[in-house]
Amino acid sequence: MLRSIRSAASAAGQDVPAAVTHDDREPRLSQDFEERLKAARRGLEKPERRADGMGAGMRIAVELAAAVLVGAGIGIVLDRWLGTSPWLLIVFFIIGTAAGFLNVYRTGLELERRAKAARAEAERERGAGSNRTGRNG
Amino acid sequence: MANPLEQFEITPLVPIRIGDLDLSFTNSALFMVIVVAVVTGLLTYSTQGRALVPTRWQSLAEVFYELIANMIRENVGSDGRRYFPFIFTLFMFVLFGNAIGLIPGSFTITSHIIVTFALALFIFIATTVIGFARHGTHYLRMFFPHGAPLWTSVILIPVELVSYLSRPVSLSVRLFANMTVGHVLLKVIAGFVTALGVFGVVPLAGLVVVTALELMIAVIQAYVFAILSCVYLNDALHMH
Repeated sequence: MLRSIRSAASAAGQDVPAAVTHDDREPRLSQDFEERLKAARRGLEKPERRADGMGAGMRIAVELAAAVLVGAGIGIVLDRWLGTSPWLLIVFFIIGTAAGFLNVYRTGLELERRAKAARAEAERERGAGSNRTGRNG
Repeated sequence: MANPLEQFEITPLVPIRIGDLDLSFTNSALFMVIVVAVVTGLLTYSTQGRALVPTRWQSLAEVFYELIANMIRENVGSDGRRYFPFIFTLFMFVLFGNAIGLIPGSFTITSHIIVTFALALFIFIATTVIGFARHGTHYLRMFFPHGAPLWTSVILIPVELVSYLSRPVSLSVRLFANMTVGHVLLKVIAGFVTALGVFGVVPLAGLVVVTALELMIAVIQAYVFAILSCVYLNDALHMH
């Protein structure tokens, strides 16, 4: 398992604490193992979180713009149909903006929920990981 | 310098004309066929053995399977399992469409808004139909939350309606914009490599980094596309 984490971390271009630096005659302590595991995990988690932030920003920006566009589009079509230019465009532009902020708010809630779930998952995994190594060591 | 937008041009390979409709087999259509063939070939080959201890290829297929299965379980719940084939197909199509587009000289199907919009519109219509089929007219409650004073409906219903209608737009624009921007960026930087002569190594090094970034974005956007489909499906099944 450690090896797979290490190879994944080195594939991600992260520094992995090498086991070579330790004196092999000395019995390896489980605490030492844990530290290396934690370091490897940190290396794994970081790039993912950065990508998440970028994705979240992109999502929110598009969410806002899309609702404004749809609102304005509905306004223009209705105006052309009913010959009420420009009033329905103005009304639906405002409605679209409100819908955009509603979208942003909902996306924010969802991202927060997801982040919380991910944190809980990581916490649980860390706990399970230390139990496992504790048994083995 | 080569035009950075040239890569998005649609060229008919086999002209087909039926009445007034231009149904030519284009380079875009060719790459869709390639994507479908690659995905089908990969999954057929890798699930051939079906061993208890998976081979490398089989574990690759299992990674995809588990990713989507977990996504559906977390975002939709157990009754979303019947929609697994659809979400999985969608994810694989978008993922390989994005990834194959990164091969130099190839065509990126997801860099065209009409392709992503068609996908998003299908999801939108499907989730709306599922919502009405499951909840009947009660699904209209989506547009007016429980317990809100009646007079607020004048504002809330149009806002919720526009918010709901903006879903296919945001879903398709996000994927299309990410792909198009990435490919334009790659082409522009690549243009500098030849234009700068010896100093072209600097943009060349940048190109390596941007290519890696684009590969990451290709995967993330496919993932986001699938996860948002799950979110919309969840709204249709359980309402929020």
